Amino acid sequence: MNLAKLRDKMDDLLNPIVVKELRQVVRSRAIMAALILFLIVQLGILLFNLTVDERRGVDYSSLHAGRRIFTVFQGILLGTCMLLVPTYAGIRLSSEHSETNVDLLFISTLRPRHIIAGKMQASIVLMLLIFSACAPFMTFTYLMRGIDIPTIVLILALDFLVVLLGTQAAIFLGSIPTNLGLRLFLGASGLMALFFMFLGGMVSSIAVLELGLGSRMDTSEFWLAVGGVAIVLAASIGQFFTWAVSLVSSPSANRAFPSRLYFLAFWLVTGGVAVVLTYRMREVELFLMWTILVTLMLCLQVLVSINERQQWGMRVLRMVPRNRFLRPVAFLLYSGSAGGILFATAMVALTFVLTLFAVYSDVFSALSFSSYRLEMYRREIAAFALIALYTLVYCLMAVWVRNVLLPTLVKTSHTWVVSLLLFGIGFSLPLILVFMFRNEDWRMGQVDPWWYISNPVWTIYEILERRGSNADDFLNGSLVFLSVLTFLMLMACMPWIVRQLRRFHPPLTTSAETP
Amino acid sequence: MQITIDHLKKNYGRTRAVDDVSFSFSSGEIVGFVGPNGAGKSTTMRIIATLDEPTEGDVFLDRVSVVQEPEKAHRLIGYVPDALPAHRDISVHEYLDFFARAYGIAASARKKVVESIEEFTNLLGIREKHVNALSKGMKNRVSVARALVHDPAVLIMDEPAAGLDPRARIELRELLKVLSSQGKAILISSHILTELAEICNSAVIIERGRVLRSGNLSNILSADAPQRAVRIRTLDEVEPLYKHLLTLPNVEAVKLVDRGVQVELMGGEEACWELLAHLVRNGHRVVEFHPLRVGLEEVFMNVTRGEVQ
Repeated sequence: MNLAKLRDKMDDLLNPIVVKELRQVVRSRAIMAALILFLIVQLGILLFNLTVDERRGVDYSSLHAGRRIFTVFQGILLGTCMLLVPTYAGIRLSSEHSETNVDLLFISTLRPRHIIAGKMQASIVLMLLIFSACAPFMTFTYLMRGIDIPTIVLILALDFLVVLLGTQAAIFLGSIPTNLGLRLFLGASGLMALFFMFLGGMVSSIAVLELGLGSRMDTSEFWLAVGGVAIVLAASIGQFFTWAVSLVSSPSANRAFPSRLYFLAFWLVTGGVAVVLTYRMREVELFLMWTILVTLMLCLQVLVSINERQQWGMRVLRMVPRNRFLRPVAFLLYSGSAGGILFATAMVALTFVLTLFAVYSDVFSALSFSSYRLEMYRREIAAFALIALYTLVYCLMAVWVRNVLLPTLVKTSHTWVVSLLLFGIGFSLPLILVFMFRNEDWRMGQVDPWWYISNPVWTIYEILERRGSNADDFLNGSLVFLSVLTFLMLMACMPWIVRQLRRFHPPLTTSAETP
Repeated sequence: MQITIDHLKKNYGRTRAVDDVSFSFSSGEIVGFVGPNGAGKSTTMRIIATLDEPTEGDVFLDRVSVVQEPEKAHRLIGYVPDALPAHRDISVHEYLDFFARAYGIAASARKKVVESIEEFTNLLGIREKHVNALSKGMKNRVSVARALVHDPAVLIMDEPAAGLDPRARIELRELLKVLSSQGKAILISSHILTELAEICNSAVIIERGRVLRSGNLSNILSADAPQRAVRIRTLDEVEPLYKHLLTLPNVEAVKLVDRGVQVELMGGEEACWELLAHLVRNGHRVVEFHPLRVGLEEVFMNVTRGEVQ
């Protein structure tokens, strides 16, 4: 094979989106300006610190200078990457895949997963560009003492994964086809999420710096922890990837099936990792972190499912199993609003049953938790159970309102807006009512927490912060109340669920009718 | 290839944008898709191009359903939207190269394909210019080139002539004729009906989401013309003919032109035949009797009411 043929072969293997995006990045003045600014800021900080330290007569054998400057560099790196890469990828995809102006690449023969993978790969190249611009400065801090090379590498790898997660989440948000107003809202929410990811990344890396890794690297616990975090982050990136692919797939396709199947695998793999880590590291918090992660993912799943289709075209119906026992399973996993909600509800219930079993049964008895820790876990588990219940209640209520009160006014794909409006009402109404009718109690700070039961933020705050027998009553009462409310909302939506269940059967003829 | 639009319906909330639209056309045909603003033309075209999903109905490209098998349909359709989606920081050549890659054209053939398309659409001179910096006419050419890059059997063109200068329009017209001669099935919407009538074999007139007329263009023109113009010349003096014609009941107007008269006649071809027979019976030595072709504009004005949804 001659060189030209080899080059052509390699060229064919490249994702077209990557080629296009990178050509655009190279030409983008905004990106180039950001990169140059990034380099200047780093150089400036390094020179400033060296000059100031020199004047102050800092002793570099104190072992702190390198770590201090590294933390500053790391903040700049993570901040720049978080601000630049996810927003660039998200905004571009959002403008290409808006409700009113779908880019023509979505009607090319590129498969949806190639489009999303291409966006991601192009973002990775941009990230590598920024990281490589920062790496020499960070490595220089090694010479200033207070930090070792493995720590630098580990923190950079962690930062890389966090930015990757942020980018994939932004690509997911950007792939939601909607109008300009809602896109701005999604953009603002995405920026807030990126800010929290940035904070999380910074806090974790500072903790790693404080611990110092050089001496711990030969222990199996260390590698288990690193591997566990990497698996959970990678699995979360994969979940956002499958959601984004579903969103850019053809509306007639069985869009939700791959992402729900992936979620099942995600749940099993990350759950397994959490069990192993908890057992080996004797820290039940690791298992609770899994509960929190999975609960938040499921809440997002419910929020996505309420906007899904309520009837299926021939393309999906042809895939419905004829076997009566397999059909209910397919109903939960295939595209469809009711199936998605039931799937998420079942997974939420399973997650909390497992969590309670793990923490309070004999599974981790060898860890012999103190009663104080068990009490703390009880409240945290209750708080996340309430988050899941509130999500279900508001989302099911939105479905009911859309179906019964606003049947022609709200598009199915905009049901999430109704749920957010209901959440807004539930959040603010108690505050107004308390101010009007319990003003005196409010001034004294003695309002019965039940007044705020429709406000999730207040209720969860009460549960985490209050102590005493009254607090326990409220914790148990609110859990029971919201469970009953979820059940009632599920019953209210039951006719709608049953209608979809009845429609979910294979077609009588197996081939599509053609004229 | 036979393209069949089969009972297509599309609702946006309470508004029915497309209401039971059915028609068909085949390879080598150029079909004019005509209707007032808001008639449902763009929606129908977007459904055919798989950009939108119909509420009911389907579109078949031979046996390929665009609803059930959009991935297969993508290979068969080239879509030219009314405005080229914004692409920053990319040149014309890179843009076309990207779409050639997106349609899976191998690297060994891609360069040749893109260059031949650039040559065919007269883009070679501006291939290094940024897409965003182009004029409306140039962007339009890029859009046509992009739609042709994978050599589709069907071309869907939504208002391709809008905003073009006369030269660009003529070039587009010639391009369409060449594409039609290559066997492509072309569905084209435009508000410039005189130009459309010159290049189309068939037409579909749509209003409020419903098809009002569809079929062969000459059939539509002859069936729906409220009146037609006939040019008549005799061997005798023009004046007696002129006066005689004014007395006839079906004649709306008569004017002197050149060495003969032009008559505005109520009715179709039957009325033309009756007039000719009448003149001959009354001793007029007719040497030229030439019904003038009625324009698509007149038919459009006669058939539509200018209503929007």
